[in-house]
Amino acid sequence: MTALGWVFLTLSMIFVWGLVIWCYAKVFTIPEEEFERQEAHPAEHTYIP
Amino acid sequence: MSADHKHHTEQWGTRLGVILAVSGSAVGLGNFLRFPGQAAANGGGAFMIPYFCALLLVGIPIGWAEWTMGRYGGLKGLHSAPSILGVFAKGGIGRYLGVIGVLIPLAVSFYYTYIEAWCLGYFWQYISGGMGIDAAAPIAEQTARAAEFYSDFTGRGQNGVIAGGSLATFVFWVVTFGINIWLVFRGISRGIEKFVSWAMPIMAVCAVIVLIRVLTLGTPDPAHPEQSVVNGLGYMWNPDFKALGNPQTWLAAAGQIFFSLSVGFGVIINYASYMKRKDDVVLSGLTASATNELFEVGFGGLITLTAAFVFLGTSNIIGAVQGGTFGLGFTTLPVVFAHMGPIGNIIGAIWFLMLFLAAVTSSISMYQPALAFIRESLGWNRLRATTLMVGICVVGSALVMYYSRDGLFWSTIDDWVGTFLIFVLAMVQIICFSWVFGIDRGMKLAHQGSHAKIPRAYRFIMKYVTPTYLVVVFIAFCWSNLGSWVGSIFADVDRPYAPGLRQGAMILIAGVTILLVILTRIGEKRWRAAGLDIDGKKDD
Repeated sequence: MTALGWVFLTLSMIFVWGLVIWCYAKVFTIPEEEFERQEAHPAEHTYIP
Repeated sequence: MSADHKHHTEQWGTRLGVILAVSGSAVGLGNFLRFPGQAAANGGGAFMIPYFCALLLVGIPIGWAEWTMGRYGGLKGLHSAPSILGVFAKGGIGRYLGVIGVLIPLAVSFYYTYIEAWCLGYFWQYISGGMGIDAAAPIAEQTARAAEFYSDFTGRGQNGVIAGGSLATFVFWVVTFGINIWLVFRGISRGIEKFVSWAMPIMAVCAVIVLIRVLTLGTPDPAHPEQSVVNGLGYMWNPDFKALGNPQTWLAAAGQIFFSLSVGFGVIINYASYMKRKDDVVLSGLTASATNELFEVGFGGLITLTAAFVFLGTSNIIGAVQGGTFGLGFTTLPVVFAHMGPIGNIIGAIWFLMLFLAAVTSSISMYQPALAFIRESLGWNRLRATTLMVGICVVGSALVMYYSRDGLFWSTIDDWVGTFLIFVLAMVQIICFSWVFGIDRGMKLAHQGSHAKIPRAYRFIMKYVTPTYLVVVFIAFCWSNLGSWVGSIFADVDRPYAPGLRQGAMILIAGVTILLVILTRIGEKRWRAAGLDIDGKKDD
């Protein structure tokens, strides 16, 4: 494994792990009630003739 | 009426549920088997430069467009690619091009569930004693044994898996198909969401266990000190910058991102249509892409080739990479597990369980768009629509399994539907979103209820860069593949002993396409009669 190989490996891991941690941290900090409180959209009730 | 009404009030139960479902759709065999092979063959670490460029310029933007279009279509009571693309294209052309968004998941499911059954069969083989590979024999002999098992099990040797002596393969397919249909039949929240909510964490745990085992292998054979974990990582990650000057590298990177993220597949647009008005699509889309990248780069990039290198060495691993996704997964890795000693069977079982779960989370996402489309176009209840879909899938899968020799039949479907048409649908989608519907309107829509902001530069990227990038890659792709693909349909030059397989696959694709077009025509009349805004004339 060359030094550049380590650089590419490390940077890639930092990128994917950093992105996934940032995303899930944001997802989990949004209160779930906000998600559940919304009403179903009205079009769904008028779809089928 | 009541059943239909119930269908159209279907929604995701939690925010995490829809994210995991889309992630599960994206994470599949390609993350663990295709990605490392592509990277190693196209510049190693240097491959990550075009790979991440394609992720940021093509994968994530098209994903955002699909999430937004799906949610918007759902608000209008529409749940399938034909009806939703009709809204975004403002008319019939988009609607009929949207048929591709049902054809792709449906036709791919014909063979994907079959491959999924291999993973279940291999898992079963490992928990019931292993593959019978003698680790003391020469590597060529071990590989031959693994290849023989693979050929018998998958029916590559002759047409008909049962005729080939492997009734077990058919039984595993029945089990796999049954699990898929049961999950989809239970519905979005009770079936798909519930399953991915435990399957995705289990997959992650399996991946971590295998990763830890691989990274702690050290130098297992003192006679070959060069075959170490560090050198195995080097085989995958040492950069070869010369590869960046080769257009093939950029094409391979874009292709990998594209197929890995499930964009242009007709799945995200359907899944997102069950979201509510204020549900976030920007953060959810990004999180689903990030999850896929974690499995692909974070696990696939460290496990597969490293393990193969440590036990097989440089000379054998080159052949393994050239063997492609299935050669690496079903022939090389069983040899690697045989070298791990008594724990090899356990690691092999965990590995194939992980692949099986990854495949199921993907395949249920293929059935759901087809089921939603049948219900939507014919106004049928869930049971009737599922019955029709099962009928279509049984015919398609039976043909795939019967005409199994060399995998020619299903690989033809994979080439034309699972590869070529994905490019076409992605181009249709990004053009509809950015140009016909309008990028400013689209961005405004995407940010409704969003918990993250799409950088302003993406207006320019999604309008100009992504379509251009796609068109260039598509032209290059056609340039290098289309001639041989078309030629091979009309003359079985490379397989004179297996005439008609490719033509048969094309007839199957044509038949399914015609059926879907007819259903779209029927649906179009019904949707119009119901007063739905299928031409996108009303603002919402």
